[in-house]
Amino acid sequence: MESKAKFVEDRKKRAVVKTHGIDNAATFEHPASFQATTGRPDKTSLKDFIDECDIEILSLNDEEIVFDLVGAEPPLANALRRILIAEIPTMAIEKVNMWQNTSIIPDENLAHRIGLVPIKADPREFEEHTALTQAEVEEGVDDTTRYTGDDCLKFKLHVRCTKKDPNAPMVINNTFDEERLYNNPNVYASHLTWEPLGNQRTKYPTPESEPKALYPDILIAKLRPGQEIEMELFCEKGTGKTHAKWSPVSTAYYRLVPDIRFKREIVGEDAKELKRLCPVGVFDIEDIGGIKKAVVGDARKCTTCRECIRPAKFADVVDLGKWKDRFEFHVETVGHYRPEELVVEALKKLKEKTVHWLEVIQQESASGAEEK
Amino acid sequence: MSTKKQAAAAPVNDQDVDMESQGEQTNNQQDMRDFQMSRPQLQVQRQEGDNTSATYSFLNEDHTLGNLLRNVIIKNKQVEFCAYSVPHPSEPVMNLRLQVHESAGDTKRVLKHGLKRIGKMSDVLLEKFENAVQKFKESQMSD
Repeated sequence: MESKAKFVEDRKKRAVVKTHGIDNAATFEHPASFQATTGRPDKTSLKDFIDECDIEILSLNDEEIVFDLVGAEPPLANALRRILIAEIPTMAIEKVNMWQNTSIIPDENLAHRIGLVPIKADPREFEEHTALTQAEVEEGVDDTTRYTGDDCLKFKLHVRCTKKDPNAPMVINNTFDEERLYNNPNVYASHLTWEPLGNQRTKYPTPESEPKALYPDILIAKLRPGQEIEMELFCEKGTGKTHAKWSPVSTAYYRLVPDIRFKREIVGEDAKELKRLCPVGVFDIEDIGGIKKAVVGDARKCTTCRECIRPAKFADVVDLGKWKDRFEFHVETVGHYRPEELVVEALKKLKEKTVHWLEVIQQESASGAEEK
Repeated sequence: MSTKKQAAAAPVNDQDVDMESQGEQTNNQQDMRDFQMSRPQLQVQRQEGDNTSATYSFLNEDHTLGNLLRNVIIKNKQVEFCAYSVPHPSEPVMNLRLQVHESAGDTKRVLKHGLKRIGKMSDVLLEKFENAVQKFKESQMSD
C-alpha cells in the first residue's frame, strides 16, 4: 500500500517521456482521483494553492522575461498565456483616410500594412472607441470625425519621392543608388507625424513623451520619383482578440520543466556515448577516482528530442521526465509594455474578469432576473 | 420518410432565396455588435424551482475563463458535475453547466465561490510575482 501510494504520487507529479510518447501526461484536477489508492483526498484547497504556488524569475531583459510558475495547474497557466496574447490592450492604427497613393502598393494592402506598425503610447491612458450605431451607419456618419483626444491618436503620413537632380535620367531597376539619386525612396515608420487631438499636446509635452512608431526603421513602402503617399491614420485602443496587431506580445508560451534521472549509473564508454548522443548537451561526464560517470548537467536544455532513449541500452536507464506543475514561461514583448509589466497586467486582467462577473451575478439576483 | 423530409425542407428553400439578395449588404462587425447588444451578459437556464443545477451562458468569454473556472469549481466536493463549452468559435459565448449536491445550497453560491477563488489566486500570484521581480532586480544590481 505504501509503495503503491508513493508510485501514484510520483506519477502524478512527473510525466515520463518514452520513445512512443508520454503515458501519463494528464493532470488530475479532482481531489478524489486517487483516494482509493492513497487513502486520502488530494490537497486542492485554496490555502494549499497559496502555500505551494511560487514564481521564480530565470531571466529578465528589455525584451523578454523567463520565469517558472510553480505549483499551478494547466488551466491557470493557459489562461495567463491566452490573456497575454489576446486580452491586454494596446493602441494600433485602425482607420485610414487615404488622400493620395500613387505607389506600387495597392491602397488596401498599404492600409493593412500600416495597421501592423506598433505604436508607442500607453494604452492605459486611453478609452475604447465606441462603435457607430446601426442608425449612424445608415445615415452614413464618418466614424473618423467622432474621435476625441481620449480614445484616439492621430498620425499623418505624407511622403513624396523626387529626383535630387531634376535633370538626371530615370534609373531603372536599381535599388543600390536610390538614396543617392532620390529624395524619400523609402517610406519608413519614422515618417509618421503625430497630430495632437484635444488636450494631447499638454499631455505629451516633450519629444520623448510624444506618441510615435515604436521602431522607426520599419519599411512601409518604396517610392520612385513622382510617386506620393498621403494618409491620415487613426489609432484605436483594442485587444488581440479582435486583431493580432493589438497583441502586446511577440510570443508568450510555456513548457514543462524537464527532469532527467538515471536508474543506474552509466560509466566508461557508455557515458561518453550518451554525452555524444544528446544534440543540445544535457549530459556531462564526471571523473570520480578514475571512473568516468555520466551526470545530468543542465536538464533545462532538453528539447525532448528523445535521442538519448532510442538505443535499447539506454531506454531503461535514462529516465526522461517533466514536472507537471512547473511551467517555464517565456514572455517576449513587442515593446508597448516592459515584459514584467505584461505579466502584472495579465494577472490584473484575470482578477478584473472575476470581479466583473461577480458584479454581474450580484446585479442579476438583485433585479430578481435569475431566481425568478 | 422521404415525403416528410421534403415537407420540412420547403420553408428552408424559401429562405435561401432571400439570403442571396440580402447577404451582400450585411456588415459582419455590425452583426456581431447587434448580437451582443440584444443579449444579456449572463444568461441562466434552469429547471423551474430547481436551484441545484443550471447552465450559465457568459457573453464575451471563451476557453480562457471557461477552463479555469471549471478547474476550480470541480475541486469543490459538493459539486456533482461541472463542464464548459464554447458552442461556436465565432460566437462570443461560453456555456458553463453546473450541478451541485443539495447540501451546497444553490449553483449561484458555488459559481461565486469559484470566481472568488480565481480572483484570490491571481492576487496571490501577483504579489509573489512582484516580489520575485524585485528580488531578481536587486540580485542583478549587486552582481
